[in-house]
Amino acid sequence: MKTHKQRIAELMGAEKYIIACAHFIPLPGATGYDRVGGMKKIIDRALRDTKILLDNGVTSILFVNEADIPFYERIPGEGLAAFTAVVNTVVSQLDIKIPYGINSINDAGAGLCIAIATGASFLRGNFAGILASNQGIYTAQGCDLFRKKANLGMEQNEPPYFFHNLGNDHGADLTGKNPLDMAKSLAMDIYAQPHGWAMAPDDLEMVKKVKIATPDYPVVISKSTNHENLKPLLEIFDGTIVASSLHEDGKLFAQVDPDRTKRFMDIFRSI
Amino acid sequence: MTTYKEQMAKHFGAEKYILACAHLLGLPGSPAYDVEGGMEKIIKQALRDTKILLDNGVHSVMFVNEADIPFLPNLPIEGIAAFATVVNTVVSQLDIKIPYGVNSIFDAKAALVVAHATGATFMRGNFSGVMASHYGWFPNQGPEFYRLKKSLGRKQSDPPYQFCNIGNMAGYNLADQDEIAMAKAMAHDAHAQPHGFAMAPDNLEKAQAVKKAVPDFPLVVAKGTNHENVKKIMEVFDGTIMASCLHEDGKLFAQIDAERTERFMKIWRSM
Repeated sequence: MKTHKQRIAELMGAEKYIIACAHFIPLPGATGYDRVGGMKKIIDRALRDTKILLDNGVTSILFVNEADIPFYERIPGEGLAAFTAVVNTVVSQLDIKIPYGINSINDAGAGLCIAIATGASFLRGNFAGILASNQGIYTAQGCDLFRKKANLGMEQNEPPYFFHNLGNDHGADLTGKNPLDMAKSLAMDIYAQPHGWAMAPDDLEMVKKVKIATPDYPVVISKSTNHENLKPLLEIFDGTIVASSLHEDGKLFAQVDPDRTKRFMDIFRSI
Repeated sequence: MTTYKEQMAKHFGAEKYILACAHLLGLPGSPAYDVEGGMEKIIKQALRDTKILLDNGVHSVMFVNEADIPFLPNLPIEGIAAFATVVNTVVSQLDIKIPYGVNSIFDAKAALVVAHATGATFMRGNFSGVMASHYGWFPNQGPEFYRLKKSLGRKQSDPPYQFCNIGNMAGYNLADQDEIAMAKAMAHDAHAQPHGFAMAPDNLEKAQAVKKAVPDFPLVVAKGTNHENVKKIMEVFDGTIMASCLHEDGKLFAQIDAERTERFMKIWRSM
């Protein structure tokens, strides 16, 4: 029987991998949506950013509605349809052959639906817990989400694979569980398991504990990886989600910077 | 000031026009969804059917989730994501240059968000009345629909143009208005108007009376047009929505029949 760690390594085609974010500019319905630029502006930007990531040989792409901040607990229909159309267009126009995933913040159920419609093979999100954040309370949709996946004909251990956010980097988990307890408890739910963990690299002792407690799960870095810390962090983690560090001036909402991306990937390949 | 009737004639490139339906197979979430065939099967069928319609020179294509029967008042998110993907893929792969529209039964807001994401320029739906059907009752989404359209940066007179069902086609209108009363009421609402009406062709005198009551609005046939009656019906109506008549054996849920479509379009061009 394969472990989740093996499944994800197979999907990514590598033992250690880069999950590079393509952050969208605001989608329809979000406060920052550009009504004049419309869908075309969103798609053009996503094509540009994604192409730079592909040209630099990232292992996989994660499409994220980062600029839809502040986030609804459920992404509205106009955002959902737009998210789907952008992914579909980018994947088809750039003929993407590497794995691609969806992070619909903070609505993992929407992420699942977009993944099914567009052929995305992994998700990042909150699949358990209750998050109290500066934007309000986000309740995980585990019950609905795992049932939906089953009802749509997908086995628990088939893609789309789920990377669950472990820890409090987006808000406090009202269940009171620390990352270790949460990981252990989710790993026991054989009918409703994520397939990997995403954790901030702040407390490396905790990360090591999680890895020992749930050795079948890969752990990827959820944020803050940069050119300097990539090498030491990947000695512990199995992969990293990367965003700001590849952007112009390292800024969260800036576009992808080809030079920073190239330098980052050169470092990754030298490891 | 241009009337909607003139505006639609310009949009469809003809004084009399065909809105040819591409009925989609059951989308994810609906009882008819084929979990084995998945998205690929739905997309393949839509590509095939739409190509036949395009090859035969219809004026426009309308994508409809006909097989999602029985319909929910709100299309679930897995349906919205799939709907957007199918339209997006078909439009891009077939490089559709004629107008295309969306009919998400009975969820006009879902149709709007799919149209916004995919560039569809018209839609059909219920924007007035309360429909009591054998699936339950469906209140129209007019008040929310027009606000959503505005929030997406679209003016009342912008696409997607709305063809509103009038009469008791899919159920009984609890507002107890006949076609004339419904059309007149909507024509009054300068801030919340559809751009055309769709009604059954059972009573041509009634259709004439609607046209007389709201002369600025085009009136299209909602159902029942066939090879035999098209000439007579089109003396009254401005356009016709076409579905079953172009399908194999004239059946609602069958695929499009190339020969029946060709024969229908020959009759049309001879008018």
